[in-house]
This record gives sequence, C-alpha cells and structure tokens, in this order.
Amino acid sequence: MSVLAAHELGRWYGQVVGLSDLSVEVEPGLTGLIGPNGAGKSTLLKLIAGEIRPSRGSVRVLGLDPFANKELHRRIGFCPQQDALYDDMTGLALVRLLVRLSGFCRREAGERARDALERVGLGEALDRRVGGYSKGMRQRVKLAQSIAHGPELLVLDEPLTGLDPIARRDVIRLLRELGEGGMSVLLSSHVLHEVQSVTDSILLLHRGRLLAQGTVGEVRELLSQHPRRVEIDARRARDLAQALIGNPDVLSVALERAEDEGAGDRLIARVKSAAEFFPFLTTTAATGGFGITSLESPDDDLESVFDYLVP
Amino acid sequence: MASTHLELYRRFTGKLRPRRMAFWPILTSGLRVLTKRKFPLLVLYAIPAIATIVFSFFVYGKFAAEEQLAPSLDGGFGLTRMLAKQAMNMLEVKNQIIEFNIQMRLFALLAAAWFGSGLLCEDRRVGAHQLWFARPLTKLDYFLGKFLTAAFFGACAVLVPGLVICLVASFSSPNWSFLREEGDVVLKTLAYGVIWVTLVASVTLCASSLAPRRGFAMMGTFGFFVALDALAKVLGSVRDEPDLFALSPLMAVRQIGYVLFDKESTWPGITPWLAWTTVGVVTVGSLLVVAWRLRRLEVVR
Repeated sequence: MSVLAAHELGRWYGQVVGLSDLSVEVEPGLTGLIGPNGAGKSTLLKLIAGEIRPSRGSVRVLGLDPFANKELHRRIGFCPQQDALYDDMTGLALVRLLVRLSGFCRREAGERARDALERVGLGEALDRRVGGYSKGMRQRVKLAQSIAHGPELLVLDEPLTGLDPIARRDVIRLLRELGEGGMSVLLSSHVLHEVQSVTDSILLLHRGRLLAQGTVGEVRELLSQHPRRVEIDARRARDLAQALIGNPDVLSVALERAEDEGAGDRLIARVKSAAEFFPFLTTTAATGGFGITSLESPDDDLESVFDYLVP
Repeated sequence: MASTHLELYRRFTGKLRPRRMAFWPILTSGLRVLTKRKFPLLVLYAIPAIATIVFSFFVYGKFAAEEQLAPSLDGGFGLTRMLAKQAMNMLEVKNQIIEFNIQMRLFALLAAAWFGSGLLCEDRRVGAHQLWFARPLTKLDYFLGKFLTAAFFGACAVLVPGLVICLVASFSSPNWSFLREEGDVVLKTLAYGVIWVTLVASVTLCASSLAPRRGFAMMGTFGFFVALDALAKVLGSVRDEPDLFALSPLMAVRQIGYVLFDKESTWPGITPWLAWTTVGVVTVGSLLVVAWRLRRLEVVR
C-alpha cells in the first residue's frame, strides 16, 4: 500500500496558490520532497499530517483521510518547519507531553521520550530548559518528538535546517537507519545535496505543482532534450574521442589537456541518452584499450536535474 | 560501521488506548510551566492570600467570641441577647464573605489575564499548534486544556479564598451552625466564582486568540474590561439610567453576586436579567471568537 496517494490535490490561501492539482503516489521508504522556497512543500506536508484541509481534490495517507484523523495521528510523526517549542519546558517534559497525547501512559511516554532524545543526541541535555538550547538542539527536539511514539510514517519539514555539519551527519544517518528499520520517511528541503544524502527517491515541486517524481537517475533520463555531460579521463583520450564520435547518441566531444604530463587527457562528451551511451562506451572501452581511468557524469546529480526543471 | 537502533525504535504495533480527557496533559503541563514564574505568582496572589488570612481570622474571631458567651440561665433577656448576638454575628460573617467574594473578582481578572494571555497567541506565534494537532487531539481538547489553565489561575484568586473562608467559618462556628444555617453561602460562593472565572477566562482566551503576542492580549483583556466599565459609568451617570451600568461586565457580575447571595445592592441597581444578559453575551461571544480562531488555526502557514 502506498503511504501517500493524492488525487488532484489543491490548496490555496485566499488568492495565493499553495498547491495545485497534485496527483501522486508515494511508496513506502525514504522520499525527498524538494523545491525552491514557496514551491508548496510545507503545504503538502501539512496536508499529509492532517493539519490543514485540501481546498480541492483528495489525499490519503496510509489509506486514511488525514484531516483531524485520530487513528492516523497515532501512526505518523510530524516535525514542522517552525520552531514550535515551549522555552519554559525541559526537552524531556515537552517530548513526554506530546507522546502522552498519542495515548501512552505517563511512564511509557517518559521512557520513549528519553530514548528518542538520546537517539538524536540530546541525552545530556534532556533535563535542561528548551529556552537554553541552540537552534540545532531545538531542531533535534522536534525530530525526537516526531519519532518517539514509533510512527509508521515520518513527515519532516526541513529537518536539517540549523544543524551543524556533525549534527547534520548524525541526523542523516538516523533517517537512513529509520528507513532501514521499516519506517517510511517523507522529508522536505530546498537544499538538494541534503535530500540526495538521505535518499535517491524524490518528488520535485515548483510553484505548487509536481514537476517530477522518481529516482534522480530516472528523472534525469526523462530529460532527453538536455544532453548529458560525461567526463572521461583516459590515457588515449584522443583515440577514444575518435571512436565515440561515430555513435549517433554522442552529440559532441571535446578534449581537455591534463596539467600533468604523464596523465591522459580528459574527454568531455555530450550524449543524448545515457541508457544508450554507457553500454556502447563499455564495449568500446573493452575492445579499444583506451586506458580509461575515471568516468563521471557531473550533471547526473539532483542539482542539474533541478536546474533543468526549475527555470 | 553502520549501526541500527531498532531496539529503541521498534515500530509500535500495539493498540493504544483512546485517550479520554486528552486536555489533561495540556492543562497539567501548562500549570507546571506557568507556576515556575515565581515573581508574578507572588505579586498577584500576595494580596488575595493576605486578605484570605485576615478575613479568616476575622471570621474565626467572631465565632470564637460567640462561644465565650455563656448562656444565662436566669432566663429572659440574657438568653435572648445571646441569641440575638449570635444571629448578628452570623449575618456579619455572611456579609463579610459576600463582600470578600465580590471584591476578589478584580484579582481573579489580574491573575487570569496575566497567566492566560499567552496561551493561544504564543502557540500560534511559535507554531506549537502544529505539534499539538499532529497528535490525536481534537480542537475541543486543546481548547479545554487552555481554558482550564486560564481558569485555574482566576479561580485561585476568587474561588479558593472564598471557599477557604467558608471552610474557616464552618469549622469555627459553634456546632457547625454556619453550615446548618448559612450552608447555601458555600454553594453560592462556588457558583459566583465559577461564573466570574468562566467570564474572565473566556475573554482572556478570546484576546489571546486574536492578538499576535502575549503583551497585546493582556492589554486587550484589561482594555476590554476597563473600557466597558468606563463607558458604562459615563453613560449611566450622564443619562442617570442604572441599567446602562450593565454594559460593564465588572458591574454586571457584581450585581449577579448580590443577586446570588440575596443581598440588596444599593448602587447602581442594575436589573438582574440585564446583568445576566451582559455576562452571558460576553462569555458566549468570547467563546465563539475562540472557536472561530481555533478553526482558522489550520490556515496558518
């Protein structure tokens, strides 16, 4: 069963369109929701978390209508983008309170809150007032409250904002572990490499519309009008260029001379279809003995996809 | 090496008990947080506490002195005088309790407004409502949690002192005579306190739901009561029309207090049903605004 199924989902705030005509299905696992500011990411996540009602269309989360659905709210964890914390409470008291609202008794809520705070690296600070926490610690408290009750689906709105590099690495590792443990995670970010470091599966939103869905590679593959750049370091780069130029998928080749005399040159090829080109390159390389030392496709990352899709 | 922590993050597969009274954790956590502010507690409750102690001694003294009066066995005037004295004492104690209750309403307003003004607007400002409503919590539970928090602080200034004095009167009166003869004063104290606390908490939450910050909400709450009181006094005095004083919730509740305790009100003499109407309209109106604002919480981006 898909964790999210939206059909012609729309949400607007007066004259402002937050989300428009979104139809999408998201399978269990880790999924990144990316888009520039104002793309509709937070609106979609709030619709999923049942915080707001759709203006049109429908959304089902874990097979249920999310708005004010108590049953569903026990099964999802939501980490909002806003600060959302009470400065006068301790981290432990705040998380315990929220876990209690999910239906746990006081004792178990306390245990789960403590575990979750330790898990996000706040074990030393759980009895301190939230008001004294740094921005990164506050972010981790929000994350802790969203995972403490053991939800099936975790909905995270910009969870890595404000974290220092070490905390960011820890949280990314935590999210991957949660995903491996069977929890579905839906996280939003406008920082592409953050999403790419967690998952390869993306939903790309822009101006309230869904631009693309799938893995980064799949989405990139669909952009046939944008030739892919392939960079190959080879000892006999000039001969390799000659071998490639005859292939109809190769639009152009260029050579860059290496600074080091001993190293080969760099060949830069623009190809129409990676799916067609890479098998051809493999065969050519195996038969020609061109001394290929490295191969990369720099615009195969999320940022390039994003640049192509978002004008 | 990668590690997993599935022992901590096992998915919850059991059946969670549906939480009745889901407002309770909100109420208790709200009280715990707000009572950490010791200075406002001291300032706001010092006068009610002192007044309660003084009045308790007064009531105790009245009944203690009464017990010293030995019944005169030589009949006639001695016994009559003693009974008359007792009746006078009882009446005096009752009147003191009534006046005490009515005057305490101002402190209840101060306390509820001070502690309750931030309850909704601060949640909205920091976005905490998003955490609440991502839980199995209805807006009614949320409202009740917040309302009872504000009401608690109001009740501590009017209801608790009133009941404490009734308790002192009950224990210190000879043969529980206070309870036997004026037992309804306890219930009326309770009723009066509940009416006033409900009104004050409703207006406070209404201001909090409309204002962007706690300070504005507090000013709104005080401003509402002070402005209406001033307007009512000006209009009532200029037009020489006692019922115009009913525009002021403060005076309307004072009138209701006198009506509840069956005591004649000399000034301004508002018609009781007008006083009830004012209190009812203000309370219901405030609650409707709160309900509307809570409903609109969902569209906050």
